[in-house]
Amino acid sequence: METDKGSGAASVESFHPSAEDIEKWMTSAFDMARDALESGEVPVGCLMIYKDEIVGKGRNEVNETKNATRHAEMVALDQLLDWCRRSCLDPSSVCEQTALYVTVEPCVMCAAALRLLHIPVVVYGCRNERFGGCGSVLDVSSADLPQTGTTFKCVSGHRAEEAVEMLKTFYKQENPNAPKPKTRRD
Amino acid sequence: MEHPTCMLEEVKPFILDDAPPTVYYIPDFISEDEETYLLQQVYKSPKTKWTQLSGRRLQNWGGLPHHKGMLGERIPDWLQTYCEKISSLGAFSGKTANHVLVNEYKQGEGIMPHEDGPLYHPTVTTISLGSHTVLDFYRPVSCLEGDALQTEGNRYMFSLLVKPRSLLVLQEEMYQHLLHGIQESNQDTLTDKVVNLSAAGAQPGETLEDSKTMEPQMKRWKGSAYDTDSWVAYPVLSDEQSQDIELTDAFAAPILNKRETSRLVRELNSAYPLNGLQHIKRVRACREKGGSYPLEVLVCLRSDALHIQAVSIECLLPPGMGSDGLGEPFIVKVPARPPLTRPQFEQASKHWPTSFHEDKRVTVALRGELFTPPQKATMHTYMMSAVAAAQAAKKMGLEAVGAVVVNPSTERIIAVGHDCRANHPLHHAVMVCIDLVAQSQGGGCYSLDKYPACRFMSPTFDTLDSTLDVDLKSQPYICTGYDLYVTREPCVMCAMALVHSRIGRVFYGTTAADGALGTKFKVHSQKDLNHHFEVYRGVLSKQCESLHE
Ligand SMILES: [Zn+2]
Ligand SMILES: [Zn+2]
Repeated sequence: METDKGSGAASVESFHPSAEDIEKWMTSAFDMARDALESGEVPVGCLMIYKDEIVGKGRNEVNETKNATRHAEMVALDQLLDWCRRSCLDPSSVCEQTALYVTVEPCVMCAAALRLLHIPVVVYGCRNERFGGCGSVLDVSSADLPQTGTTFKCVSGHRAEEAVEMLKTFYKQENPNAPKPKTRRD
Repeated sequence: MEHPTCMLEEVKPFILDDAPPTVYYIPDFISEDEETYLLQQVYKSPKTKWTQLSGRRLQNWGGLPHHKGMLGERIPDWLQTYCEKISSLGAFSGKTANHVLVNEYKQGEGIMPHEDGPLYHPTVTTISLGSHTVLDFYRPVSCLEGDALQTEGNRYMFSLLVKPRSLLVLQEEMYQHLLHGIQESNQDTLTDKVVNLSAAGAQPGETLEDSKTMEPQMKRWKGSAYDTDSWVAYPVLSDEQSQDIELTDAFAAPILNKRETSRLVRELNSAYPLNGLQHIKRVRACREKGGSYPLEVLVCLRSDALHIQAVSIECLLPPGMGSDGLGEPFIVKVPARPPLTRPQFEQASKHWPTSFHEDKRVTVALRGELFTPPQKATMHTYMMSAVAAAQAAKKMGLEAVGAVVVNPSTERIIAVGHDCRANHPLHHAVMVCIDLVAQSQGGGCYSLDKYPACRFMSPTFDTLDSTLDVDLKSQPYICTGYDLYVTREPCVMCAMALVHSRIGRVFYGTTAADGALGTKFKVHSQKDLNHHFEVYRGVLSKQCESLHE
């Protein structure tokens, strides 16, 4: 596995999830995605893991907040910061040893947010052709952006086909010709 | 920046200490004779001067509060006298009020809580004629905790009793932050929530009957004071539009006999059709002065003739096409793609005659002339609000970046935000603004109570907005049709957040080293993304740059 030479890389060079870690946490992430799909939500599962502990667990909250930036990763990052506050730990030293496990490649925005928080490793399932920020649309994960945090490593392809299938099923449901679910009006 | 805090010393005793800064209440500012005279003048004005609104009618003097009317009309002498008298107290930083709204409230009429907006010097001065009013003050919606019900009732803070012939001056927080309104009631019972009872000579528990009130409100319209010539907004075009044109090699040959031109062009078009190069003209005038043949024709692309060893006209032409009529071929460079902008067209034409379907709007924009002076004045005021937010952030030790979201169709500011990353590393000014827009529509999730300069306008007050499609409103694409003004070019996270939010246009002041709307990326014109938007840089560039000094 190659290592990035971003700033602060020296302290995290040893930090890399093992094959068992990947298997274990991606299984949880896929369970989350499937739950989301079954309740009609965007099928993305996302976990932030620090020292074998879940410190952030996000699902897409765009609709309830009316804020289009509330992707699962952004929600999970907020939980991570809250967890640090509750545990009286310095967020930057926690982030440096935290891995993100997510079923779909993070979008350009989320990839930048992960850089800004110095998350060193992202493990994802399938590519995100529409918005992906780890190479599909732009490669934010490794771009030369000295004022936008640090680069991160990507481990991709874990159960990719399954993740794509879930997205396809979801977008089929979102077909504009399909009957609209009732939206709350107040 | 103009500061309102230069009122004369002699009026300082009239500051109300029980209200937020700053309210001046001066009883009996004018005499009863002056009151009668002013009322006569108001009613002598032509009927057409009145505008009837629900709950009140008004006269507008000095131009409409709208950029098209900013040069406006002269204020009549009977009002001008009072504009000057009040301005001489220092209410408008040494300048004179240039806009007067005369509001008439009949018994039982009132006005919903509102603010007077950023287009004015942040001061409003009101003389009351005829009867008293009770002016109520409210917190803006954003200042309440979490999910608490944001009713008018629990946003209510306090009231002011405004007696006839008094002068009321609202500045600073009272003007810029709080909303004010008048209840529709037939009588007012004074409670201890009226903070100027003694200054107004009234008792708690007293009940005052409402009758007709006339309130000339003097303000200073800011637009004309702006130096909109100090900056130019340039478009940030896509790479395809802004890069140098791409060239490709081709063979051309002189036409020996001009009269055979049309036959040669016809035969060459069928032998070597210029597929995908319809922008290239087949024939050009010889560029060398005194050349032997006046016309030259494009024979084929070099890529059409790669197999050919010795380059001669006989080799280039397909069998069956006679080579007579053409001279010896030579290599030229032709533009590989149609030019998209005038600079590209001019560059392309230097190599070979090229046709150009000009987008006039882009040409004008590249000259920095897309926006008219009144449009620039409006843009100026919006960016000033962003600069003010950035300054507020700087004062709190935060990064000096400010942003404003505007609905250009109603010309209303929807949200003002600034960088809050000391509180949360991802709360950049743009992210804050997006959440504030969500909050203005009942959503949002950032807690920004610590930052009074981060605020939003509830769309309840934005009456024109209610005509927007309800289905559209229920979508999370909340920035559809809105403009963002931000002092510094957004980073890649913020730029993509704007794509997700479907922003209409973005205007920024200065570039950033890692900027994603022109410097490092052009997210707004990125291929594969499902939403593109226009970006302009350079708005108020000097003021925006100086934020980082
Ligand atoms: Zn995302
Ligand atoms: Zn940003």
